Amino acid sequence: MPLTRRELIRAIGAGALTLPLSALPLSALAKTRDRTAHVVIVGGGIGGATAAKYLRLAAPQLRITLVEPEKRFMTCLRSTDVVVGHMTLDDITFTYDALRAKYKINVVHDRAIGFDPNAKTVQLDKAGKMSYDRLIVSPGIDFIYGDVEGYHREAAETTMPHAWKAGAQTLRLQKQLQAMPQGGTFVLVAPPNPFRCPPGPYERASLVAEWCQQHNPAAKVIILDPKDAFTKDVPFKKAWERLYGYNTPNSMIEWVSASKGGKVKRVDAASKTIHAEAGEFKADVINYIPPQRAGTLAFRMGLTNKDGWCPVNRRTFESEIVKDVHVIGDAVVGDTMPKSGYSANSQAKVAVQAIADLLAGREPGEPSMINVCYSLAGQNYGVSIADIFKVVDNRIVKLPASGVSPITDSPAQPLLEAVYQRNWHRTFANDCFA
Amino acid sequence: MTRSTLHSPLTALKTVALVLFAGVCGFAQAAAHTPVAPMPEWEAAQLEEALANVSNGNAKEGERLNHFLYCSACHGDNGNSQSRNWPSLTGQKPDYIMKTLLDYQRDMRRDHYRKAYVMNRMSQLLSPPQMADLAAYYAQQPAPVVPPQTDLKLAKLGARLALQGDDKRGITACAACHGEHGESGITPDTPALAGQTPEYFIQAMQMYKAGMRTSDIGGVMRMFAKNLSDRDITVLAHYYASLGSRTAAR
Repeated sequence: MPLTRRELIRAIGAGALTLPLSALPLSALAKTRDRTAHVVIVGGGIGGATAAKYLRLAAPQLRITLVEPEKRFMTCLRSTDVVVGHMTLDDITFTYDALRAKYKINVVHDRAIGFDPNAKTVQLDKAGKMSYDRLIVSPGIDFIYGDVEGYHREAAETTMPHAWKAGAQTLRLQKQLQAMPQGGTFVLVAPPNPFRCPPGPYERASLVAEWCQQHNPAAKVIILDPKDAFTKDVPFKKAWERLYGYNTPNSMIEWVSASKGGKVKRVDAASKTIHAEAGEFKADVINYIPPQRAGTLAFRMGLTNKDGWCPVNRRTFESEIVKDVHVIGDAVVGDTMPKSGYSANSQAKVAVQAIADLLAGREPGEPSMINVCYSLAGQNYGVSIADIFKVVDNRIVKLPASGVSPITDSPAQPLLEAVYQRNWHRTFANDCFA
Repeated sequence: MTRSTLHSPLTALKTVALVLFAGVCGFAQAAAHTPVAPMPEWEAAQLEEALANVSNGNAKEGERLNHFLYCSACHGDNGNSQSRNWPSLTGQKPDYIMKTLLDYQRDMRRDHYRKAYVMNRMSQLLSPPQMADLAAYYAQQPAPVVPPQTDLKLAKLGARLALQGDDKRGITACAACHGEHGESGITPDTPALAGQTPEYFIQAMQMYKAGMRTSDIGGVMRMFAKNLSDRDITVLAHYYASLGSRTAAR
């Protein structure tokens, strides 16, 4: 239970220095006596929401403010299920009600428009200047437009949706898929590394193929990829063989890797034609997932390196560029850790523990982090990966205990993974928002 | 209550009637918008037919399936559950095991107030002969041992209700159908309860009580569960758990 300052004082006054107080380290007590430290979190996605909740658990006495413009958050997780009609946007929409009510987080729906790292203040659009002792930024990703001739923001918002942030984009792709003529071609342009949700493009190709089996059986899904390998590619390809005739002339899915000419050189939005190194691809629906960089907020705050990502101290997630500012989630340079919701959640927990330690004058501990990704190759066919990470010489490294779904003959194995995935999504969303 | 909100008893009555009417309409409308299919039920003759070949099950093949389909991952190496979440399957009559698999396949079960996704999907992988094989295997295993979390004080309190029922509250003795030692009884599709995981027992009874499990023929268990308090269910769970085997599982 969070302990407010008033309760703390009352407890001291009554001489009742019992359990909740003895649980607090003395240095924290000293700190709370002068004033209560204020931690501001900017960005209320998975990283920011998890940070707010777990900071309250790690340091009950703190003042915590979460700044997020939107009143509701839609997870990118499972948004492809919305594209193919297995879920609705409501199923992946979460509010900040529990963070407010249960965890006493001051949630402010506002936009950060300025930042003074020396004065330790953030400027909010409506609420004005807000000072912090520690700032957490969870900026997510943004897209790089203009690298490929013919592909630009306007195309992404009309003819070539990315559907890589949930919401209007998701519904746009859903409509285009539904309107695809019988026997049409769905081209998915996969992004170069690193990008948000590494298995996502391949899960999407799978679920679109499954949708087509029912609604558009002569249709084809082509993945144009600037890479020669992707996460969980072994179980994914096995699933495609089993479900969609992969590696046969009638395969519903075709994966054009970099060495087969999958890199896109030019697109023509008007004729829906993609010119790749392998040649010309005429499409009916184009799902163009562009290259990515840290969210714009990170750039404005000066937290990014020359590659467009945020370098951090891997033990505390404190920015290597700006003091007292911590960055978490997809925007950070995560080394071997993928850009996933699970990683953001895991990093948030490490960062807030480090902040609680630093504010209390303790040395932050050695973190251990996890990533688990469940993907669907079909509604009844799951594939997963689980990794455990530690920090060695300021680099996040994978431990050998990591693993990908094995390929077995048992039909129960992918089926159970699909069921676990469903339960995982529910539990995970609760871990972040409830 | 102020004058401006209600003018007379008659108005009050009208308001109540209107609210009731609106409530009924609202319910009908909601039902029209989200058609929820009623959960299926068994006809006695239909179940009899479905279980006609259960005795042909091959226990050796059942043993293979128990591992091949990862059943053992939740239900224990030989069907004797090591977890509080899942039931033990050993010591059941083959009919009950096969019926349960059919119940899941036919979507008659809710576990923990939710659709039973794991077993619902898993049972769809199985053909009736494979169900009979699994049933034969689990039936061959010795009855489950007393689960470590069994509370013997609570178990004592459950004995009377289980063996004698409660006339005053119209509660029939459980033993009448489930056997004097919880070893199954009246029909081969009546489950054995001795040594069952108490948490699973409670959950199953709560699902019957809430009408969320429709696998009982003629709604019999739903009817019995209705009269049981949460406390009754808890003491019965520990009583039956305590009747498990005292020797360690193989």
